[in-house]
Amino acid sequence: MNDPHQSPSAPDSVELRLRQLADALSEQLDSDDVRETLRQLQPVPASLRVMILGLGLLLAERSVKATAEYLRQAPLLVNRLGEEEWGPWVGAGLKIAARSAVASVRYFRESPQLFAEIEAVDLRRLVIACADQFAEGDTGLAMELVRQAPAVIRLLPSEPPAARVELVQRWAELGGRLALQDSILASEYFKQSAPFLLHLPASALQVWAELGGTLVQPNQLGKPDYLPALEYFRVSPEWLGAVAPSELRSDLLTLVRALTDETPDRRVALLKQAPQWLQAIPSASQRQWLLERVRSLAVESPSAAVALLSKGGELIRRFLSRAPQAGPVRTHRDETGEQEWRRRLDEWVLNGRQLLRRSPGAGLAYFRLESSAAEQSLDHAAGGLSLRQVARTLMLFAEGLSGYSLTIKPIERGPVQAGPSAGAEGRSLPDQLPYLEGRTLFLPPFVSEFGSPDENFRYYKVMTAHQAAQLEFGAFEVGRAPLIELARTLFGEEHAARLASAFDDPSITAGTTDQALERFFSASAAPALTNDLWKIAEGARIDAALRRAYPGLRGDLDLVAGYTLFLRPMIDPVELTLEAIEAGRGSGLSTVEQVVELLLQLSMAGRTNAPIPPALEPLLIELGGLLQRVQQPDATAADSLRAACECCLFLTRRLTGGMERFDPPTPTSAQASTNPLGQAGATISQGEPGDYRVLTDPQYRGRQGAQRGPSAAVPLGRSAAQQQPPSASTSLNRTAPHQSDQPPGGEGASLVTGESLPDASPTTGTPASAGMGTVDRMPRLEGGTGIFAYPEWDESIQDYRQGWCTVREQTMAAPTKAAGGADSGAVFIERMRTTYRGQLLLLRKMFERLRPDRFKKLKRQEAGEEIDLDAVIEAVIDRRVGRTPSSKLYIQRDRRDRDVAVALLVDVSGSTGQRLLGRPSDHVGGQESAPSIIQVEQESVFLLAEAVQAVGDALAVYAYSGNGRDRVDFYLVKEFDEPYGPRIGERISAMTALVQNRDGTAIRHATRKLLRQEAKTRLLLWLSDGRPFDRDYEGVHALADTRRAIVEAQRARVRTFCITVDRWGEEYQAALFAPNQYTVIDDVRQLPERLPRIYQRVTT
Amino acid sequence: MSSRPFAPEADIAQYLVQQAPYYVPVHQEVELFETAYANQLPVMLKGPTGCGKSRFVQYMAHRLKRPLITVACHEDVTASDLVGRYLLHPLTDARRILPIEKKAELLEAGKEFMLVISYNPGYQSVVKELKQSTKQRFIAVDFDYPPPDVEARIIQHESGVSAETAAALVKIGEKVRHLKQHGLEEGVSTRLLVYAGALIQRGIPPHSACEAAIARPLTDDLEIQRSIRELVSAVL
Repeated sequence: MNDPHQSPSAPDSVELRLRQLADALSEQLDSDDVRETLRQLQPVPASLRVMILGLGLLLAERSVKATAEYLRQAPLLVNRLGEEEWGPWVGAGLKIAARSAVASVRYFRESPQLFAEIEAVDLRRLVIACADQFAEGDTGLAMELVRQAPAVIRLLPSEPPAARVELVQRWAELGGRLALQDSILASEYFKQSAPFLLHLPASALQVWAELGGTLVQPNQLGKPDYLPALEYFRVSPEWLGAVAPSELRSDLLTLVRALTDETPDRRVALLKQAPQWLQAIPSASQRQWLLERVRSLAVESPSAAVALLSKGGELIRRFLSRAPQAGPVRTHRDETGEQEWRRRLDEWVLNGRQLLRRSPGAGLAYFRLESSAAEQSLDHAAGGLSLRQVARTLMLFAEGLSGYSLTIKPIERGPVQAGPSAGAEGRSLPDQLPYLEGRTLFLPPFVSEFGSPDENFRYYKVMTAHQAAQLEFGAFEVGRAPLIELARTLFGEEHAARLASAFDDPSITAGTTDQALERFFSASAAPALTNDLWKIAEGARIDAALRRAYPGLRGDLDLVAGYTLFLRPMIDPVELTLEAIEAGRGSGLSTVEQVVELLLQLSMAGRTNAPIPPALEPLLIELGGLLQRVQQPDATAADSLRAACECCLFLTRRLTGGMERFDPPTPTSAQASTNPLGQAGATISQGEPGDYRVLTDPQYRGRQGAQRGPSAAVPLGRSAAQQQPPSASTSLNRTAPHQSDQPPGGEGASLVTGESLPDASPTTGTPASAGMGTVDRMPRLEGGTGIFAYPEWDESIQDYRQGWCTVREQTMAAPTKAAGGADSGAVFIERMRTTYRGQLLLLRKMFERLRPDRFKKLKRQEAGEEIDLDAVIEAVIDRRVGRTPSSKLYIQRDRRDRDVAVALLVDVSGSTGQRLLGRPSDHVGGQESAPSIIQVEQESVFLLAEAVQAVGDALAVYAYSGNGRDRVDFYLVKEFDEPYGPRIGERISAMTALVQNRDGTAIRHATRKLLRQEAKTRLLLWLSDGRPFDRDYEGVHALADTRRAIVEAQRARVRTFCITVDRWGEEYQAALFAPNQYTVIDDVRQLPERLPRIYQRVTT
Repeated sequence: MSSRPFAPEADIAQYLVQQAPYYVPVHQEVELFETAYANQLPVMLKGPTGCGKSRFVQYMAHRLKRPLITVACHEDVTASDLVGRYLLHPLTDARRILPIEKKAELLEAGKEFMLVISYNPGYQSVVKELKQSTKQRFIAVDFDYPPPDVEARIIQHESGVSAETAAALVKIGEKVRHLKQHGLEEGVSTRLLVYAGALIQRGIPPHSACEAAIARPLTDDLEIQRSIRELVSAVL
């Protein structure tokens, strides 16, 4: 074999050397092994063999076993390892062997894998060099490095090679840095590097490793706690892998690293949750935005950043529901939808940061979306306007325009249209159309169609003006005479006569033109089409009247009509012949539908949103001419109706070849399901040309033709129509033109503080089962009567937390006989009446005196029906002697009525269960044990309820307790309208000591109920037994919220008075109330006697 | 208008209305007033503020060529202010005398004396309602804001604005008066509309003029002000 390495001059010395080495090795190792190795190395040049054996000999000095392993591997490596690689490789092994023989055996056994898998020599040398370095500190680490290197290197970008070397170097260095903290950490780092690199780029390694390093912190014993860090290295690759797009993964890591104030456990948990939070956000760019903002926020306040991160999804969702897809106004701006929402949400974040600087607590609540500031800012950022803000202005505006007294209520929100790309269905939100019902104007609760609050206000204004104008200009109101006249000309004498008789029909009461109209339409061959045309005509008439009467509204109308136009279906602008259109080509609308749609667009904006198909142009010109009449100043609803009928006739004649009346065509349901006019669907009415589908109402004109006046039949008719299959609606039902857009009942969502939630609304937590042993103490419920959400004042952030507390209102159930301890109702009442017979008599007399004496004379008044003779005489005397006489010379009859509504709010928290020890109870007849506070409260309530009977005030009794903010139980013992009787007595006796007391919320709810009472004097009488206390509700916070609730009540002109039976109540009552608004009864036994007297005092 | 002045030392001639005041009769108030005068009946003019009651009296004084003495009764004037000095009741009935006790005088009203009171129902209503015993001594002439065409003519005459602007102001007035009872105590008076016209005529932009002459004086409630502003801008 021609070996270039073999020096020809000294073959013998080489051979000699080899023999020496083999001998030396054989002395220490199994000579067979050595021989076998030599045999395998036979083809290798002698000089290389010398080096291999020489190295082996060196190694043998450290570890025989390692040398044996080395010798076993060596023959396999001769072809892979360059000559210059042997030295460093064995050198590292030597270092390892110096520390651990076992480790070095493993080193020599496993490291060849590196050479098998990695081709690039420089990389192999680098890895070995690094292993060599690590070997000085920790052999295990060196091993791990070598073991993991192939997988890691495979995952690194291969080009350019130099960069890869650098990356590997970096990777090892990072491990080295971790090793300085703890080698286990570094080892875990090496182990998890490959999984990490599967999901993240190599550039993220540094952040990843550094973050791991910061997760080690001293535990309670002062020793470093590695567990969070280890868990982090183990599972973070997988967690991060869930984040998409992948670029966000390192952003998330960077973010978590920045949260240095959080505990390691929190940060690990965050890293686990954050991917889930992020993935809940539908769009990648939104996620990106969120992470960017969170990261910059983290510089200021890590906890706020975490809050933003966790609530980001909700924030974006809420934002989008308020600022839905673009309107025409937005396209004027030179920004894409993306830029726009970014800008607006940035504004929201900016507001939060400013708040954060002023008050960290308030800022935190803001980013947690808890405070009302966050809500308002979101409204503002969405550019939208909530009805709440402008309802009164709009109401006055509508009243001013129409001269009618109107109420404005929000339309109950339908399902929120989320997502930036709502399709054709999303274009019209049928459930958000304004409408008028009686004298109540329903408007969308929130408007964000335009970019600025100002424009959105104009939108509201136009909606309001149009609805008010319907009243002002008598929309859809056709009198008897014009209607009969119209029927005569259109349908003939016979129908006119029938119609006239309908007016005389006693079952049709005067004024219900709608029924007469229905009869009118029943004669029409195409009632739905006629009705649509009538709506268009009326809309045009009202718009024209508005523009004429209120020139200042023209600009607003133009703005809104333009926007509405944008939302309308587009008619295929492709040039089509009439025949082609009739053949059903072109847009999804039939020809008649197209014409009607175009006519509507023309009537709103004087133009269409796409060029009119030339084939339809002549038709539209004719129809436009017919409609022009309704835009004249003196046009009436009857004119509109006539125009609509004429249009209908004209249309059907032109499109069906001169037929005067249509044959009833068969409706096909297949066509209905592909209705392009929106998901609202459309009724197919029989007798329409070509299965005519009803037009969707234009946005600002709202739901038109809704019945007006107080006719209560509206909802009935509507629901009946909805239950009918489409094909069955043979006659026009004017009340149900638009199917799914069912209006809410008379009650719109309330604008007052407490918003009623649907009963089925999920509440967080399961408070009923939260406290062990409380469940069986819950009183039996006669059935819940409602769930309400209330805000709570947080002093620390100086803001309300919205919808924070949930009140469950329920009727206090009478106790069952079996209930241990408690009396049955009848027994209780009987016992009370016996015990307090004397007091009751006295009380009744006392209260009877409270009854106003209608003929009481008030003397010495400035004015009155009679002259007060005494006063006059004095005045005359005064005058005579030269003094200024008094001007109070009259007697006035006192006509003041007593008009008092009192809500007695009783705290039945757990502490009221305390027995009153110390003194034997002498006033509870026959009772062995001392009474508890709750028993005394019961007695007092009973006495008061009996006594108030005598004066006739409206009295309600409520009890409350609760457990946490999700569960404030509010028990109805007696409602205002319930007559006092045995049943109430039973409920009083059913009051038991329950759990805790979140007083602020209970006061808010009681105030709300009280405000429904129409009384001159409204009093909230609060019977408390101690400090407000509940889960997360104590100390300053609880007092501040309670104080707020009281101030709210007082602002609403509800008088408040508190009686507390807490001996130490003085301390905090003084903080809650003005001095004359509370009293502390230190001996609760006096309560039954004092409560009625207090009542008497505070109600007069 | 009295045959003998309340203050004899004053020169009665100075109370004569020299220039004919501008007044557009709406109903039959002129005839009614003249008849009352001829029959020596006291007259009560009822109506919202600024609808032309005082102007009507001036107009009648000029027409009947009687001096006009006005006693302003603002909200701080109590019954005793008047009664203490002038016991009006005997003056208003057939006796037609005015005892001035402090001077121990008894004035007798002359034939041409006529007592006219102006009274604003609703305004200060609950507290200072006129007593029945007072009310029932007068013939009442009801005043209200003039009909739109008349009001427009008045505004045009008083402020000098164009017929178009006057019509717009009348319309604003009508719309704002709808708010009475719902938000406003009183509707906007003709007087204020004239003021608005005057401001417009002197170069103030119409919106600002209406703001200054209508929205702001009528109410302190910002929301109502805004509603008025919206009504104004709807009409203009």
